[in-house]
Amino acid sequence: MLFLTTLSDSSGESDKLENCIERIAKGEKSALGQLYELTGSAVYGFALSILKNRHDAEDVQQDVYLQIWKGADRYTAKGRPRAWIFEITKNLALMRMREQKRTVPAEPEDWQEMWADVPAVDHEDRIMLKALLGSLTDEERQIVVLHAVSGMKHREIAVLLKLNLSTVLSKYNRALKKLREAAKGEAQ
Amino acid sequence: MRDTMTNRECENRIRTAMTHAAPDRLESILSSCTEQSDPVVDVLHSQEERSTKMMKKQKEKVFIAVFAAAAALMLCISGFSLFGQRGGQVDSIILLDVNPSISLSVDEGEKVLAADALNEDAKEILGSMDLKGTSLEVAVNALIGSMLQKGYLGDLQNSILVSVENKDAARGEELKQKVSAQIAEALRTDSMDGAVLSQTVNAEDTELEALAQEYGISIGKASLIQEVIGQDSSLTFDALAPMTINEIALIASSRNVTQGQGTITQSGSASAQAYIGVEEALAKACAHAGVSVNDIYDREVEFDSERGVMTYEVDFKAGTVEYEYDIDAVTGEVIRFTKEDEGTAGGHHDDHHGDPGTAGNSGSGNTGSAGGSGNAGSYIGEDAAFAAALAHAGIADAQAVSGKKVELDSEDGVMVYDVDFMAGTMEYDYEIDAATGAVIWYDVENEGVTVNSSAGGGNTGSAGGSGNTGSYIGEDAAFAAALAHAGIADAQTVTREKVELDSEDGVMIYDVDFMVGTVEYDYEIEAATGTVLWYEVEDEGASGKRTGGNNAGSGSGSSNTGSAGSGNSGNAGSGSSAAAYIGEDAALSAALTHAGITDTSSVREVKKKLDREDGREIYEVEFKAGGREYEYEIDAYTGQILKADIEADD
Repeated sequence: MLFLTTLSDSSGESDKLENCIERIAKGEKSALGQLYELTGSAVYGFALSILKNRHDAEDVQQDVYLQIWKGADRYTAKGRPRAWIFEITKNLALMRMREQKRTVPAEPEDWQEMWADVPAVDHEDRIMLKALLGSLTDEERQIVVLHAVSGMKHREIAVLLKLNLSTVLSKYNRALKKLREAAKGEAQ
Repeated sequence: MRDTMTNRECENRIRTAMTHAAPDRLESILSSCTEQSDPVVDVLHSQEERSTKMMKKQKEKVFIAVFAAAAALMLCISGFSLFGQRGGQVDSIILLDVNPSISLSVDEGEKVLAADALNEDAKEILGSMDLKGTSLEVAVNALIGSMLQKGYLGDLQNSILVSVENKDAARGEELKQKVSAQIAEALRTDSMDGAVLSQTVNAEDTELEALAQEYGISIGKASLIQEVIGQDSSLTFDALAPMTINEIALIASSRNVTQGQGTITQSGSASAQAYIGVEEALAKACAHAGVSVNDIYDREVEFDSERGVMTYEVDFKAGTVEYEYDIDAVTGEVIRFTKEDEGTAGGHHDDHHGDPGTAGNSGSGNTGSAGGSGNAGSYIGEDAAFAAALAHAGIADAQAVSGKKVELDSEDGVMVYDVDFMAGTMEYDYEIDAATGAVIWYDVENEGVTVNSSAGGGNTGSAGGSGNTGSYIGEDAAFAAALAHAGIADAQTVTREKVELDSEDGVMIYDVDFMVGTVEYDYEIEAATGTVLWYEVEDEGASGKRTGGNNAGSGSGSSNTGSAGSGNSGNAGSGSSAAAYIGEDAALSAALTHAGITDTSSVREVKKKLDREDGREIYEVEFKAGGREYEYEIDAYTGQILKADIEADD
C-alpha cells in the first residue's frame, strides 16, 4: 500500500481500472489485487467519510472488493469505472449505516486516537483526519475525499451524490478552506 | 497569518492521510473470493443471500425423473442414429434461454448437429454432455434436466424461452409448439409450474443479430426484449438484457405486455415467489414516505429492473403529492424515490451558475402555493417546509421567490425537506426537518454579483477584448470581472499577481489573484462566460484596516464603537459607507439573537473577525452552543445577517 492511490484525472487511469474490472470478470485474482492497490484507500476514505467510524469503513472496504469480484461481469458503466466503484461503496456504506443504527460515530476526542495503533498514520495525518471528521459536514467531507483521494471529477461527484455541479464546487472550496483553518489551528 | 497550505497541498495531505489510514486487507479479500460470479448475484446491492437463498432452495429438490431419463436415452443413442443420415444440413435453430442460453442446430430430421453454449451459465449446463447426433427431443430433455438439477430452473425462476429459427414459417411454428409442449410436460413431470414462452424468430433479421451481439445474448432473448420494450417504451434494452427470462417475463406481465400479442406465446406464469410482493412493496414505500396506505390513490405497482436488480416500481399519490419509488424486490429496500408536489407545479430549477444573460427568469413557473398542504402521515409536507423556510428567511411574499425546489431527502437518517429558492439575487438553501418543520441547516448566498462580459448582462462596463483566445473571454476580461466583483473601481491600487487559464475539472477557468493593500483576493472566473465561480478574500494585515467600500474610499479604521444594537432589520447595502461599524460585540449579539440563544453561558469557542466579502464589510462570527456550530456573516454597518450556517457540532 505504498506506491498507489494517486488516481490522477487522466483517462488512462480509467482505462487501467476498466481493464482490471474486465480481467476480474474473467476470474483473475491478480487483477483484483491491482484494483485494490489503485483504489483501496479512496474506497476506504469514501466509506469513512460516510460512516465516520474506522472499523465500519474497513469492513465496507473489504465488502466492496468482494462485491466487485462477484459482480465484475455486470460492469456496464463503460468508461466510468470510478463512478461504478464508488456507487457500490456508497450503497454498501449506507446499507451498513442502516443496518447498525447503533453504530454511533466516534466522539471527536477519539478521532486522533482512532488510528493510534496504525504506525503509518503520523502526526500530520492525524491532524488531517481529525479535521476531516471534525470540521466538515458529511457532504463536504464526501466531496473532498472523493476529489482529493479518488481523483473523481467534480462533475462525477455531482452525479454520484445527486447534487448540482455548482453546489459541489462551492462546497468543495468551502470545505478546503475549513480544513486549512482546522489544520492550522490544530498545528499551533 | 498567511495560510500555510494551498489547495493542492491540502489535497495531497488528505490523500496521504487516507493512504496511511487505509487498511491492507487484500489478503483477506483474496482468500474470501473463491467462487466467481454467480448469475443471480447483484452487483450493487450485495444480496449474496439473495442468490444463495434462491439456489439452495432449488438445489434441494432432486430432479431425478427427467434427468435420469435423459441420461439413459443419451446412452442408448450414442451408438446409433434414430433418424438415419438425412441431410446433415442445418434446417432449424432452437434457442433455449433461461439464464443459460443454449443454441441447438438441427437438421430436417430433428437430429442435433451442434449444441452451443451462448453464455457462461450455458457452459455449466452443457458440461461434458455431447448432444451431437441425438434427437432434438432427447437433447431438450437433457438440457431441461440439467437446468433443474443445477438450480437454474425451479420454483423461484420457472420461466424458459423457446425460440425457433426456420426459413419456413409453418415449419418453425410447428417445431416451436412441439418443443414448448415437451418442455411444459417435462416441468410438469417434476411437479413444477413452469412458464414457457415461445416464439419464432427471423434468421434474416440483421438488427436483432446486431443487438444480440452487442449485449452478448441470444437472438431469441433479444427478440423477446425488443417485443417487450416495443410495447412499453419506459423499458430499455440496457435494463432488460442482464435479466433472466423469468425476470423479463415478470416485468412484461406486470405491465400487461406479451399477452395476446401474437408473436410470443406463453403458457403458465412466471414465478414471483422470490419477491416480497406488491402489497409489501407498497407498504414499504408508504412507510418510507410517511403516509398511510389508506390515504393514497392512483396507485400502480409494476416490476422493473435497476442495474440488474429486480425492483417494484411503486407510484402513488397522497394529497397533492405524487410519489415514485423503486423498491428492491427481494429485500424491500428503498433504492430510489422521487416526490413531486403537484400543488406547486413546475418545480422549475435553474442553475445559477449558468449564463446570466439567459438564465434570468425564463420561466419561474411556480404558480402560487395552491393545493391542500399535501400533508400526509408524519411529515409536515412540502408546502409547510417551504413556508417554514420562507418565514425563516424573512420573505413575506412567496411571489418574490423563483427557482423553487422542494425535495424530501434523507440526511444522516433524518428525513428532511431540501428547500432551494432564489429571491432577488440571493440563493437560499434550507434543510427542514420533515417531521417537525425545524430549520436544521441553511445557507444563503448572494449570487447576484455574477459578471458576464460576453454579450448581454453588461455588469462590468469595461471587460471586453484583448487577447481573446477562441471562445474564452480573455485574461484581461477575467481580471476585470474579478475587480468588478470585488468592487474595485481603481485598478491602479491593485497589484496584479496572477491571471492564469486553468482547467478545474474540465471547466476552463481563469485563476485570478491580486492584492489591494494587505487584502489578498483569489478568484476563479469561468473562462467562457466570465462568471465568478469561486472567490476568497483575506486580509493579510492586522485585522481591521480595510480599504473602503464602494465609492468613498478611506475605510475609517476598525475602531468598533460599541452600541450593542442587534439592529437586525434594515435591508442593508445602500452605500452607507463612512459610518462606523457596529462593532464585534454587537455583531455577536446579532448572531446570538438570530440563533435564539439567550443564555450566553452555553456559548463556547467564540470567534469574531472583521472581514470583507463582495466588496462589503462584514463580521465573521463563529461560536458553538447547544451541540451546534454557528457561522455568521454580518453586515458591519447594519448588523444584518448576510449569511448563516448552522450545523450539528459533531
